[in-house]
Amino acid sequence: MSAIKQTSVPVFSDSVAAPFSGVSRLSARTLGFYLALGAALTFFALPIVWMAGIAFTPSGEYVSDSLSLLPAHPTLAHFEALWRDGFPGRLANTLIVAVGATLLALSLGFLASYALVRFRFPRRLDHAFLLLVLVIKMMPPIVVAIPLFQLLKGLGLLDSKLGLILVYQVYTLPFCIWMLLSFVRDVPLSLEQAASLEGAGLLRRLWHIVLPLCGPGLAATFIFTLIMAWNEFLFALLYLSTPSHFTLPLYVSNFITENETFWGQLMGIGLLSSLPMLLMAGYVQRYLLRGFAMQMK
Amino acid sequence: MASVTLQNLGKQYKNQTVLRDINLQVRDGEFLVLVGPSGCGKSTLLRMIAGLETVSGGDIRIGGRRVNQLDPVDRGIAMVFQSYALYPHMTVWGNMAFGLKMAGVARPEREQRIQQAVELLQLQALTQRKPAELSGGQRQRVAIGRAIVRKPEVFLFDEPLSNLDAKLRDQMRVQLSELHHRLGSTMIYVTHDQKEAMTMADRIVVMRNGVIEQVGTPLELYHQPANRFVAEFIGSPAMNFLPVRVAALNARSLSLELPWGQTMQTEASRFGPKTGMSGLKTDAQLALGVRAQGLVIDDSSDLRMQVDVVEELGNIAYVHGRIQTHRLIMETPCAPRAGTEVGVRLKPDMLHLFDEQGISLASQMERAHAA
Ligand SMILES: Nc1ncnc2c1ncn2[C@@H]1O[C@H](COP(=O)(O)OP(=O)(O)OP(=O)(O)O)[C@@H](O)[C@H]1O
Ligand SMILES: [Mg+2]
Repeated sequence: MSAIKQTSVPVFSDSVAAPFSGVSRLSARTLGFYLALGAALTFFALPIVWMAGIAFTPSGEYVSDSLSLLPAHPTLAHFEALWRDGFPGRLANTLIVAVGATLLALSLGFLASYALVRFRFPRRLDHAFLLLVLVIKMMPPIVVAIPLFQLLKGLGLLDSKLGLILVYQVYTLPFCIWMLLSFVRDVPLSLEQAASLEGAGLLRRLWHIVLPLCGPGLAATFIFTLIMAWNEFLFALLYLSTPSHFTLPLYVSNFITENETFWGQLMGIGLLSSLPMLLMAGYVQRYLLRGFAMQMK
Repeated sequence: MASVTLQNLGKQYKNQTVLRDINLQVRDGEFLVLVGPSGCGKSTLLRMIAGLETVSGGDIRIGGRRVNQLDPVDRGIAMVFQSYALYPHMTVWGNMAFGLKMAGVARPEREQRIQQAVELLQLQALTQRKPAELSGGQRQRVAIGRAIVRKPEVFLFDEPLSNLDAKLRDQMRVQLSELHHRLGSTMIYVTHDQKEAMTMADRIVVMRNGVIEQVGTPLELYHQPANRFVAEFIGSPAMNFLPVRVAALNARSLSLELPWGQTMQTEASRFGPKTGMSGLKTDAQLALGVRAQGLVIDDSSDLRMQVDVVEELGNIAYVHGRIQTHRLIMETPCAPRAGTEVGVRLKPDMLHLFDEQGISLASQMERAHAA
């Protein structure tokens, strides 16, 4: 009896008082939250705004000491120069290489992680393999650069998009395997057993059951891998020699010369090359969230 | 439809034997229930029949055909998992269509079969929902529907009701029995709930530690348990056991000394026609089994039971009590009050005797007779 009374009092007072006393507390907290959010946003957005500002500022103006972020006389001159200079071709190169490398890594990584999760390997070879893969990923790129150069040369794939796509697998594939591992592991074995009882062989199970259930995982891995490949610089520098084959990170470096740095063009490329990523991330994120919400309870 | 025959079936994991020497004939159209405590190998046996586990020894035949090496899909079986294993990314309709698509069933036939199952299981309003949007009972029905549409010869169920609440479980039990009557297919059903086993089964298989303890109809197991384990497992509440001594023995009657000193006379024939031949001697120590229904209140009796707890169920009550140190459960229509003392009598026709190994004397008789 006394226990009931003791608990009932606070419950009662809390539920009644909350709407009144809660208002100020709530708004103070909300205000703090928005302030923190605003600070973080400014911190992360400032470079982008600055980049956009420079991209639209005529040459000569951005050397002035003004602190203004926005151009006084906006111009599209840098974009026109880029267009004429062959930016679209470099963008296409980057798209093909990054998307190609990502799709290849994603499909191979998916199959590999499935095999590692579901198949039995003697003597813990699966663990050894995963460690090896991790070690490769952690190696500084320059260590493998020369062997890879020999390899590409032997295959006749130097200075080609396909060559670059293959070389990128050194980093994208381990990443995909490790990322997808936990998603594949989360697909209940009983689902696959049910499917195999219903006559679905390995490939059909992969296609109809495992793949759709790993959708959110694949989407997340896709976007991270794509960014990785999109921004890759070192391998592109080492293995591409013809300027028209360049990817954007390599192309950017053209605008920093011994005599002059073409800030306008530089920022223009920065802006244009991050746009596709932003769009992609936005699109995939929507799918990601929906995917997570849809997942089984 | 098909019979299922298991011959000397065995299963080993590394060096652990999970199933030993399983011999079983499941008749065509039979509803067979596998029961036993957790870990006794029921699921393993079922999954071996399904083809999800390899066979370590012996044979599995379905419809006379040896299926040991056959892929699950070629065995003519459908299985309902404990977790239902519905495909979460497909609708109810899609879940039922999947297996038919895999089997290459043409669209019109597919739709017709699914439609039939949907009507049979009353899923009409739910066909476009995803499993996450269904209640437990609804998911259960979809899982059954997914099995039905494939028209298997044998249905396998692994504890399909264990995730449902008690009331829904009661409903689904009846519905599953109805379904069995309608389809007439062979069904093998795993549970550890003896109530499910008793109410649904044509025959029950009681398992323990990877071996079959007894096979029989629910009433056979209830009235003639082969051993103490089966006697304890089947029937609710669990059977009472008392240590007794054979006080006197002749061809007609058997006189037992109860732990409290009283002796009681029983007909020897109840425990087999030739009790004397079983090697039973005077002074032998036995376990006397009596169900809660075999104890009655009789104030003229000199067995006085101290009433500890009374579980009132409405129409009947379970009385938990003690006679000296021996705990007993009694079922009675009119419950005494806790803390009181009542006279208790044992119904002579509801007694079971088990030897020191726990084997029922009655079943020993039968075996001796058969040999
Ligand atoms: N993959 C496995 N490897 C080793 N031992 C296993 C494996 N699967 C099951 N076992 C063992 O086999 C025995 C029987 O398991 P099984 O799942 O058939 O029990 P069960 O009767 O279905 O129990 P429950 O009622 O809890 O479902 C258990 O002792 C279990 O530990
Ligand atoms: Mg089980």
